Amino acid sequence: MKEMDNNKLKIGIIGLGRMGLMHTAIFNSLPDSKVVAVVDPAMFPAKPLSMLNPNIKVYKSIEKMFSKEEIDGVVIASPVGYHVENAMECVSKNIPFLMEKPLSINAKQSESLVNELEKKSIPNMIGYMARNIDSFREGKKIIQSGALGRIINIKGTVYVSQLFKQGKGWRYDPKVSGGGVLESQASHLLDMLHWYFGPVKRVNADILSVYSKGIEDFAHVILEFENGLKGWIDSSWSVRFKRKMELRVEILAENGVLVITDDTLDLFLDTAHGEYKEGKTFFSANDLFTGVHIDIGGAKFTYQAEEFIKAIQQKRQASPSIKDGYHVQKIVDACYQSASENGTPQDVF
Amino acid sequence: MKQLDKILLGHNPLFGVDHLSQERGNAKDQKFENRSALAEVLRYAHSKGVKAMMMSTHPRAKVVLDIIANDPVLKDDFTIYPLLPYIVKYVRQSNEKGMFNVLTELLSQAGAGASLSMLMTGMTGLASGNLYKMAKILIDIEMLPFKGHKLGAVFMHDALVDLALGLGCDEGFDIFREHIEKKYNVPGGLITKNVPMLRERLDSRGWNDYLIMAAFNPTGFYMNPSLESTIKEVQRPGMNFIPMSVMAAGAIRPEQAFEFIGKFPEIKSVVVGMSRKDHIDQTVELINKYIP
Repeated sequence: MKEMDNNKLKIGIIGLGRMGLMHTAIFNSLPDSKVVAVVDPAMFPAKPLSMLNPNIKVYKSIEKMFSKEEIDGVVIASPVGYHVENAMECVSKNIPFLMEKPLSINAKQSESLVNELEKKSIPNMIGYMARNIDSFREGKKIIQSGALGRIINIKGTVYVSQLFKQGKGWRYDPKVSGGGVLESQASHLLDMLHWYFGPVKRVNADILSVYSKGIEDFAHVILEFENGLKGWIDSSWSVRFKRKMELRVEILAENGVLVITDDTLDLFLDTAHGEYKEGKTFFSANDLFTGVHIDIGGAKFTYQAEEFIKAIQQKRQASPSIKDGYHVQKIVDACYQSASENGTPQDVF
Repeated sequence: MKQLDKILLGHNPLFGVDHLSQERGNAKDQKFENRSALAEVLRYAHSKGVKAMMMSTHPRAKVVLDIIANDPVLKDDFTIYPLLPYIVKYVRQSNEKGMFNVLTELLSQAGAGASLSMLMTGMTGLASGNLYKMAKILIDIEMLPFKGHKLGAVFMHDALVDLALGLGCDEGFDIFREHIEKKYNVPGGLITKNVPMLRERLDSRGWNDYLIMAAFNPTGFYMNPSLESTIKEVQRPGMNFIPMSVMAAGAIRPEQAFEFIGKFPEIKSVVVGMSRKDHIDQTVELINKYIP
């Protein structure tokens, strides 16, 4: 048992907020990894955690953790403003890292990191976990199969009932979070569309702040992809009746329609294509479910952790990578720019 | 372990939660904003022999508890199975203001029901990192709305159970069970999405009997790592297993769901969400047919 344990990848977690705690729980339980250290300057909840599980050591800085522990991979779950700084410390020690989304408060802040990663081949990953939701994974397969024929346009929405008064904490401070619902939640959708349809060339955006000061609670974006495809997304964290974040992508194409939500996938085809039949095909969450080694907060996070572990073991790039996160960040920046100029189109250079 | 009620009414449909479709959940949510609609469902279910209900401290729980307390029949003949904590509330609040602030505010706003000593113990626990004291005080605060009601068992929410399981904070399970059994005099149970892993961990802490609630259905929905491994756990000596998500969130026909459960004589109780009279009639009949 002890020997088996020694073969596990030793993971360090930066930032023990809600996401950090969940990552700790998952990496600590998978057969190929264990968490040996957490870094958090705050006493709570790091200290109680190490009291309950003395195998996990607490450090006040990444530097201290690296000097005391042998670390095979790091999860960065600190506030967004610290992401790049934390990642650079991993890069300087050639340690693979999984970074919570979004990448940084703006693309410029992460330029140096992206450049460093071009020079060194360190497995890296950005936490756009929605790619790992069963229905969206299946959606990717359908799009890649070509079953839909030429795609005409796409619509995406992301909504959650999260904020109905001025928020407190770093998430609502633009200097630390980088932005509002666009940066925090619509970025999941942007990553998905980038994964599905390739890079985005141009955007027009409109944002609205109702409850928050300095960040947006609503955002509407028109997108033009490099391949010529057009679409729009709409997002808000201040809508009613969405107890969990809900993503939805609707793809209108010459051979049919594909609608994907967190729970379902609805395909309609005029003519059959490969394994996909003519007419309606419906997959529920139940149809798409497969058991995972441990489920804490959804199988999507387990799949994400497994992908990071495999990338470390196989010394390869993870999906989505920091580079993917950089493109999303550039789209978000262009959206803020466009919104500040009354929706004037902006190129995502 | 004492005999638990055979049929536990699940709170999800009454509180607007639907695991297969949020949209469907929202529709139910709007229906049961109406107090008389809620009362009618509870009374009808009771008349058909459903005399127990799972309940978190969802804002609507107050209304349901109030209906029960003021109903001449329900007040003495309806058992509550609390589910702690109401996790969505904490997630939303910690998104808004951070985990530490949520806990301190909770402890300071525990309300008229919380005694000063409760408050002081909780604050001291938080400051000194004494989690055991704090955990007990948080349990007691969450239990306040259920005061005066007949209790069947108290369960820890799967979000918390699975987090503690993953973090290796196993001692939390001992603390929860001991506190519930000692202070509230009912069994302390755990809800999980990872039955085999949890049971192994409990064994390593010296447990030899367990009250566990988890998804159980013939398609393996929400069962990790697999249907087969979960079945083995259900059949294990010492296991008091209560199935939930028995119809795999509506993907399986009721007859098929309860016929499957009927194959496991170890199962004595089941949780099922019911929100319409015809659904109650059909479900109760099927449960009585397959679970003796």
